Amino acid sequence: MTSEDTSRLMQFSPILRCMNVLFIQVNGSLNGVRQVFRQQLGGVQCFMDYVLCRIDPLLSLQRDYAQVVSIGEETRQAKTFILRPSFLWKGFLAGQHIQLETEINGVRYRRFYSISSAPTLFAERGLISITVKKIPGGRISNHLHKTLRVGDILAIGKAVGRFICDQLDSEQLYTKSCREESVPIAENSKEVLFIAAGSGVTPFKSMLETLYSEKPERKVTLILYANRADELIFNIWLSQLSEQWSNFRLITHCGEQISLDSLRSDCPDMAQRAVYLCGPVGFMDKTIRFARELDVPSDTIRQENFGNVSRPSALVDAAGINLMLVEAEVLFTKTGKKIKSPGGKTLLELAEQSGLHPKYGCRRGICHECTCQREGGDIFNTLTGALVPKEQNRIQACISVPVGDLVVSDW
Amino acid sequence: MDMKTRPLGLLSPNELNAFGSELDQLREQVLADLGQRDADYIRDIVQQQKMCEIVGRTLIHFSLNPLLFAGGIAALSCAKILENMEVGHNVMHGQYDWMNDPTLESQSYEWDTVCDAESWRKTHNFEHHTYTNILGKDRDYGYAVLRLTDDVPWKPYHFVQFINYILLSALFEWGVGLHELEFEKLKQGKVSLKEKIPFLKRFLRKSGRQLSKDYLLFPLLAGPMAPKVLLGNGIANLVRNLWTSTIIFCGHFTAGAETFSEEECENETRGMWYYRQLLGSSNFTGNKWLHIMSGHLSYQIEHHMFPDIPAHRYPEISEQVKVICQKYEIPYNTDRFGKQYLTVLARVARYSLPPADSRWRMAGEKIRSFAGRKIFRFLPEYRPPVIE
Repeated sequence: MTSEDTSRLMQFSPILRCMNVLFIQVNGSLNGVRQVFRQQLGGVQCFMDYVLCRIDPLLSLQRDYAQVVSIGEETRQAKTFILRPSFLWKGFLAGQHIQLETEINGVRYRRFYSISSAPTLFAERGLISITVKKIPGGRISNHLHKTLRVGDILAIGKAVGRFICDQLDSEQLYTKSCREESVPIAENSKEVLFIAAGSGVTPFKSMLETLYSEKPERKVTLILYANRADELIFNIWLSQLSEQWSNFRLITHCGEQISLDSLRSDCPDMAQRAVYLCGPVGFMDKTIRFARELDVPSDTIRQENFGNVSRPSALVDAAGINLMLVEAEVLFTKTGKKIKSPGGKTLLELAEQSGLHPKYGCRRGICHECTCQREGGDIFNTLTGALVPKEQNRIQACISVPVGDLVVSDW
Repeated sequence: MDMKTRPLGLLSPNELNAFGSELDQLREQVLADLGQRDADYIRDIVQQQKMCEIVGRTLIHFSLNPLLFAGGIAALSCAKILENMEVGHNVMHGQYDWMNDPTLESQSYEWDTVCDAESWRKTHNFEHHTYTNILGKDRDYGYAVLRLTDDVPWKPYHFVQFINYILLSALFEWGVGLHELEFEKLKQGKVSLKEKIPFLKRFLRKSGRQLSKDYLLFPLLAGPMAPKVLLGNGIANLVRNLWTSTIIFCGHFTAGAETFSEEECENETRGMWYYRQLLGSSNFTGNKWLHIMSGHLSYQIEHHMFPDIPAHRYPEISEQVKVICQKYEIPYNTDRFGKQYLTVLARVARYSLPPADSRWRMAGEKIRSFAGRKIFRFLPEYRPPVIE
């Protein structure tokens, strides 16, 4: 199916939207019949969705997809992809991010990317954009840069995240479900300070665009760090904005590390501002330390991590260690339970020790009954005698020994 | 008593360990190689299965002559067989979990049969695959209905087990669906009905949905032609039942497939487990489509050694398994499909008769001599291994 066909189909999206509403209505009211539909692959609903997805994934009634509308180059390392989400996608708040799914060699990888466009663009034209910076050795970012073309269709997720600008209150743009997630921490009247490093600037572009159109009277400062001047993402757009908008101050630092002095001179009234931080983990840790020294109350700082959230444990890299005997700590996010292990205990044993009763079967790696979802952390496979590959998220608990910190999401 | 031509003790512990690690190596080799080819394969099969189902259901609905109607039934039967065997069974083993694809995820997959997927994962993936052919632990050995070895005490109702076998085959999805009920243990009072209530609830929910899909929703959609659709769907389900049970019976009940006792398998090593899977399973040969329609259970040996490796890899793996078996002088049970199936029928017939020490011996002898001449002449004679 070519992109013209698809855009032609998308003209019918109001009809499809109505169909979808009708479908959900009918589905919701006929409780008994719904059960027949609801089965997974055996069910009629999934069958229909499969057929719809074969015609065009954008027609899917169960998953969100987006089509690449155009691709622009920001810097040599960063590209902006403008996407048109399918009609089921609900919208977002400035600062939120979405999950992007891409397939490499048969394996589906999922990564989060901040939306860099303003919610108005989605409201008016149904478009969003994400900006992806190539990370050296990064599998997904490089793959997206290399293979993604205009017209391609990607599976995406709903907009999520609490990194939202509270100085905005344009309720009409946001769906209720988005709003519920946000917890106000800063007073609405405060002046705003954004601090970003590298591609951490992406959510701020969305916020800045929205602030400029809705609250131009508010004072906003953006401090931006980059390795080199030609790596500054949105450089032209930002300098244009600072010319047009007198209340906006842009400060860029190229090739410098963040320091207490520069922070003090860039924004002397930091303690009175609502502070938003976005950048790599190391950068954020440092900035928060400095902010504390400048007496910034910690509840006015909001931060968004990106890159590798789970820090690779140094122990794993060191050779010659018996990985079975490394100390570990496991967090089961569904129940909120946490347990420490001196090493050598399997994930299943640890779950049982902490009072959980997960399903299990053979306890020797045959039956997959104890399969669970890991979110981050390293795992030693007792059958293969090696670490489980990073991208493999479904793991067999009975033959997995956690190495270092581990997060399991479905127990 | 005629068990164990090659008892588990035939290989020394060292040999068993070496045997096991060679198979582990083979497993690692294949796992490291999984990629686009496997993803393309399973998606292609899923697509063909859906096409089959669309064609089948359309023809059953709208066909105006018996030939097209029969074609529709054939297509729907194929779709159900493909979904159950090559997609459902294999996906639920976790063969495609590495793809991170939510529609091919072992623990959430639900399939097109009355058997609840959760129950299947427990009774099949865990019980059957862990305790394969261990009498008393693997309830799939004879499904608590058939007597397939003299190690199971003979009862008079075993005289009619050939009829039971045919019934079990025709109603196979119901047998599989109710497997977790453990009817024989309920009867003996080993488990109480109360423990089985959660299972029964799940079973009723799933079978209710399944029945309402095939025997209510689709017939109603056909309006006045409802009885035709009802009949078509019923026949397709029956064909699927007969085919799947036949394939599955050829996996463990052929002449050469062995059984084990619980004591033999205590403190089992990985090598011993592989060895037991090998001795307890049997393959059959055939063309590409026979393998696909059997969900590659025609490579039952490889399936039991590597249940979570994508099944379409078994043909390549089998060549290497055969080499390893030759090296350790272990028999590798394979033959033509028809031949293997005849030995299954022979086994069902053979053990329907009482053993020599039974007081029903004379009746058994009479039937044997009569049947040997008349009914079972087409069966190869079942020669139990001689015990010294």
